[in-house]
Amino acid sequence: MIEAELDHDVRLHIFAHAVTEGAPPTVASTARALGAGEADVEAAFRRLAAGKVIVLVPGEREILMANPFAATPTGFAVRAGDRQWYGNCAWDALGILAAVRANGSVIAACGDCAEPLKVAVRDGAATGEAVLHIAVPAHHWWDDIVFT
Amino acid sequence: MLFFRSEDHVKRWCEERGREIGAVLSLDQAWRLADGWYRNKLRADWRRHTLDETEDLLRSIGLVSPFWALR
Repeated sequence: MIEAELDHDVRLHIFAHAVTEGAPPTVASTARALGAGEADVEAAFRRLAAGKVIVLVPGEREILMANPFAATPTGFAVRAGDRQWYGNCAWDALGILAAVRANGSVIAACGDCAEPLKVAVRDGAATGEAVLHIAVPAHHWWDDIVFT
Repeated sequence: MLFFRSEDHVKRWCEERGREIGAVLSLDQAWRLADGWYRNKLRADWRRHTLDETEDLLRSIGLVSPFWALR
């Protein structure tokens, strides 16, 4: 399989897995699912990371973020029906509901006072008592995407 | 990128950390930004937005200050 085809299939698997399982997959499970070698899938993960499609755990081969999905629980829980995911940040949490095109809610906390916040998304509109703060100017978002 | 209960909470959070306030988006703006950014992320034919497309998206939401400059 040529690299571009593998990258395409790996990308689709990553996001399909995140939608159905709640988080992105590992190299090993992706290799099993696609019938590919782990070294080839790891290389595909690295190419996708270089293309800013995913973010890997620093120094490791596994996914930290398949934006908007987080690989591990965060303070931005997203629920739609009986499904649950975690966003990497406030923006990504809303982005999950946009990507899966579902009504649902984001459960988070005020960054200042830690009071719980709930944002509901229904029929293409968001409601709730919240604002979103972006600390880093747009041109510098990818300087340190984990901080951003 | 955090949620806050209000802009006053953003100000307090920034003051306590000696940071300048970045951009504060209403929930409607935040949703429109997230929707425009991620709506097609699961599609087989997804591709990254071009700079022009991203600038169009930001402009459509009223995000036009220097904070949002991409180049």
